[in-house]
Amino acid sequence: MEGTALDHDGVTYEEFVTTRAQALLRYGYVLTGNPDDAADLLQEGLIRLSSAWSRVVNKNDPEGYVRTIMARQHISMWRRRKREHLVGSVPEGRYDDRGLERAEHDPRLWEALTSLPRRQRAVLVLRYYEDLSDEEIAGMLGISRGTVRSQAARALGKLRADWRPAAASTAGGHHDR
Amino acid sequence: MTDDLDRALRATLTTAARQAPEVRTGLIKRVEKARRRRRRVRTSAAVVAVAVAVGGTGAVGGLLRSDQDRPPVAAKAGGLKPVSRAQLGTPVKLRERWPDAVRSLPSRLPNGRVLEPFALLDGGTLVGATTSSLQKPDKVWAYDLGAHKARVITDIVVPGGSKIFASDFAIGQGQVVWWLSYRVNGRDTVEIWGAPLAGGAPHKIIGMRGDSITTLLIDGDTIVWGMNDGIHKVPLAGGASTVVPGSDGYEIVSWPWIGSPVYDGKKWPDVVYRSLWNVRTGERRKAVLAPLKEPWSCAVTWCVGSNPWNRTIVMQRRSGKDGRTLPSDIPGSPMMGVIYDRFVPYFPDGARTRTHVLYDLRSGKLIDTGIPRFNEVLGRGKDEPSPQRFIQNDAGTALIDFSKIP
Repeated sequence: MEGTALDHDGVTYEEFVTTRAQALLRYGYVLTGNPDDAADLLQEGLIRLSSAWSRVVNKNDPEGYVRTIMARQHISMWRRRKREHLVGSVPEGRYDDRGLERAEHDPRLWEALTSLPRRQRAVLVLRYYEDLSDEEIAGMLGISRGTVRSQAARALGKLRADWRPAAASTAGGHHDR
Repeated sequence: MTDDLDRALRATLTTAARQAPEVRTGLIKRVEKARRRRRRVRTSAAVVAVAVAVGGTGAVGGLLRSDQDRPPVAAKAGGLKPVSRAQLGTPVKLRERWPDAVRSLPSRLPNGRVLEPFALLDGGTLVGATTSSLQKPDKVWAYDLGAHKARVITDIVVPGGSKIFASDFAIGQGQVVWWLSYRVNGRDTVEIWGAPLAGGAPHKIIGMRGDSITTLLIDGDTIVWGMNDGIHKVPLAGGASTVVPGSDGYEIVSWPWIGSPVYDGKKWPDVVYRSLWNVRTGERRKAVLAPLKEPWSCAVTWCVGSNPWNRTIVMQRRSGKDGRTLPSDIPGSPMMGVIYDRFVPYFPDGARTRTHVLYDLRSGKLIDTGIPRFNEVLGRGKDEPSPQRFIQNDAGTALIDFSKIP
């Protein structure tokens, strides 16, 4: 009926990318487990977002849109392409070194995550990093809630088989959180 | 143990995220470049695919389309002819050329309240609503512009637990109807209300489970509306509602035309309303369009898409004919659909375009409505057969009557 606002918050695509790219790259990093794939995933998400910007911004959720694209892309449509180096290079083992400084961070668990199939990993990331409910995860990945639960259970089972809480002092640290 | 694992996962992922690399500067430019490169690659692959098909081994063509994550679009569509900015010429001034097609209207009632109009009736009576707070209509008014007098048609009831206030006012058969939704005890309810235009108490016509309605209109003595489970009908006088059989997954495009697939809030289909169905005559139409990475959005006759990275708007008839591309200086140019199955909003001066300008698909010309533009963009109307479009902004209220543009 009336004119529709181009964007409710006055946020442009460029502003959105400028303010949110780092957070999205972090998200890509925990989804993929490596910086190059994270950069590819971010690029893919941003390309799609640019095409969809006017529609997405009117739904007021560009962030949700691009995160959904990234998660789905990672699981189902991921192809190795010639990499666009969107990020700086990361020294090998950097996360391990840093991780050791933090009692609650477990490099072995981070490593164990790489053994999971992509969908299982994505479910865990969405549940434990994004703090989404199983229902939200189901909507985001376009799968049933039952599948979310079974994928999560399978992933946790696999991790549990390989992983034991670190020394008692570290475990105590967990409980303090 | 599981709790330990849960906690450790949370901590590990959170910490790992902090160790993600830094985004380098110039990200936007690099994304654009990557996208351009990919488009070029795809274009040349398509050329090869055509050559192979001519040579008689069509199967290879499919392999060459490998980068596509959308299903290939039917191949019968004609090409897209680029139209240059110069070819568009100077926009036709709507107010001078067809003065009946545009009209300035008072934005306030005689009592000073802001009126949000939804119809201008014959005889010069403006029907609209006032709001008590943002998007919360409290009264429906009839404003006799000639006599400069307004009267209340009805007071709008706002139920407890309201989620969406009175929306999509529609007029017909001497009645005005609207819908609203509320949540009580975790249960969402949508209700359609109505009142006589002559004035009177509002009454609930029907209530049902659900949280929103996409389109509401009056067709003769029937109220028609679209919800996520299909197209519904109920007599204007009240009674039991019925669902149009087989309309699940459809939305009202331009009654009695309904279309599918729709945007479900998660994923955009390749072609919004690719399939069209006239529920009165049973006629069905499908869109056959040139391949486009971005989604198309179709009306009854025309479809529109955009390509923000080479800055073009793309238009084509549903039949695959008359395809054309227009330069557009607005990145992520609006995908708001075709207006009145004929017009597409256009911005000759990019984001600095100060008036609402339309590209007329019928004439191929630009029309400058002369209506000042702020940051709003005209979109497809919810009740498309209606030729009236109101534009309200800081400059006031204006009405375009598309039926007055020959």
